[in-house]
Amino acid sequence: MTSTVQLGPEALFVLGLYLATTLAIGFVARTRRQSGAPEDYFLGGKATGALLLFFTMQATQYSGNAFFGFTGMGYRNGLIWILSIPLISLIITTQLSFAPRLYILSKRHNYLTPADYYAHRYDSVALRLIVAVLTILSMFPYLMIQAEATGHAVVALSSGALPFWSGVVFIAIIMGVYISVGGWRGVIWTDALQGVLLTIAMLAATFAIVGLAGGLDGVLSTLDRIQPSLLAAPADIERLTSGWLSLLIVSAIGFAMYPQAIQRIYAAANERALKKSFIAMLFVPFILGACTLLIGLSGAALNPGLEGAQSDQIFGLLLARLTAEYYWLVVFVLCGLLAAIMSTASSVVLTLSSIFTRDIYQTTMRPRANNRELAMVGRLFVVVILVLVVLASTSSTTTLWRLTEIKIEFLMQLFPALILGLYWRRITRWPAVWGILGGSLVAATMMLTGHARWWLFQAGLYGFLVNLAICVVATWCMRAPDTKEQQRLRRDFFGIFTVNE
Amino acid sequence: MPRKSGIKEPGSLGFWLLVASLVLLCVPYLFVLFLDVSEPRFFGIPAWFYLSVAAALGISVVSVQRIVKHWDIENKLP
Repeated sequence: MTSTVQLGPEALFVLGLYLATTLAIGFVARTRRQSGAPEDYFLGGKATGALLLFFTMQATQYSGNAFFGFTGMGYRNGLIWILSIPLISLIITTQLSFAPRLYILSKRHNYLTPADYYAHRYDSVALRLIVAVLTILSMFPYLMIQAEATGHAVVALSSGALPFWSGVVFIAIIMGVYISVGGWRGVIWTDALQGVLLTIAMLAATFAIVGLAGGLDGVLSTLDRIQPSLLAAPADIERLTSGWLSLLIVSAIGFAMYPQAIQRIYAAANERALKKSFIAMLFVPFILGACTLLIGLSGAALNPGLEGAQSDQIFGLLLARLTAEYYWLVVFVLCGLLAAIMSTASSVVLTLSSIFTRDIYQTTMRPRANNRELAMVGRLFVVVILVLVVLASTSSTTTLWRLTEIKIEFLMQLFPALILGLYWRRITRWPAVWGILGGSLVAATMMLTGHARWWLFQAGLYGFLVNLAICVVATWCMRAPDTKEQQRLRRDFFGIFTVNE
Repeated sequence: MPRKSGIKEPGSLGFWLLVASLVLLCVPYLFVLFLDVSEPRFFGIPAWFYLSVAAALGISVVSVQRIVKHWDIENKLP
């Protein structure tokens, strides 16, 4: 993809400068460590202010996928990709359904991972393990994609001097060091740097690429002539529903359940910080979503004819065309792209490390492990998962967006048990367990039998509806929680927010 | 169950119905049902595009309104 970009050794120097800065941030973050507790290593002692919280949310949400997957979607779908704006802003809107209560509960009960809530609310080790395993399995392919993208970015920045595998290994080592050394603070401070870089890079790339295509008027008139279908919405209700309404619903729920996004709710210093970062996040998609649309449309005007996974390469192809005229801009954009990939990957790796340490290692192997041991296991897991990701990263023939969809269609199966557990005291562990397993099974079966989309909706949405139905019907069919359980729920959950409980 | 005194939470039935309506407006159903997905155009861009942008903006604005005016828990708890 971006290997067609021709850059000189000075680009490698800029890359080295950027990577050295992220390493330095990791080591400075280490000096700010407050204690050896897992809460401090994985969540910075839950004291993250509004500005850093916003940057880490933004940098984590916009990965290399924004540069390649989103621009590919704009290229393939045309103007209707304006729906990328509500697609992203609806994530925060959906989180309004659970974040206010979950934030308070996480402070009171010292939650570290998403599964901490499920295990505590439903008093179930089985549910903790199911949530942990489902989360790790859903997120792992996503990390592979990020690793693959780092390889391409490094190949481009070095003009082929560094081979693909060395890029993947080198960046993984850099990330491994700053995550292990700096923990949460290392990750979110680098996120702040990377968030600024990726935003400026995306804006700069958009202006340059639209300019190359003859400005907005030029893009529209070219598309009107060669691909007018890109300027019109799908003209039948079935395609609009299966292609777009279903996508908006699945994305809103699935992205909201990202484990790293839930940990950012836990990590807020206070409610005020969380509210401010949410407000800012609601408007970011208007800038970055518009950029991906404009890049995709310009790509369709300048370089039509790419199909399927090939269309994800449009951003790289456009950068290659810009190299002669905007050399330093291309270097900067490639660094921004690397920043986008690294910020997301490092957040996901740290989150998966906390999930393994708390939900699997401590729960099933060493319940009495001390803080020092847990922090050590967390650091080791960072190294192990990065090695696995490097070994598994290969070129994919599926579009980046499709891989993203698969991930969120499984993550959304965690939503019913979360939301019903927060607002419905009658629901108990077994309906929640059956719901998650049933929903995931339906989604997996449909995908594996070639029904990733069936009639109006995606497989994950059918799984979600089955999941919800199981939770509700099974809860009504089973006995209400006994007195002791009701007292526990009142004390630890519902009595915090409501009267007469 | 009624909430404790002073506690405000952003979610409400009215809010979710409004968000659902705005999501439906984002997807250009109206133009498929009653108009043309290619016409009319303003500044070279079809009208459904502007409606989608306006509905997306509406989702963000009502969400911000709920966050600012209807989310206050931490300060009200003992």
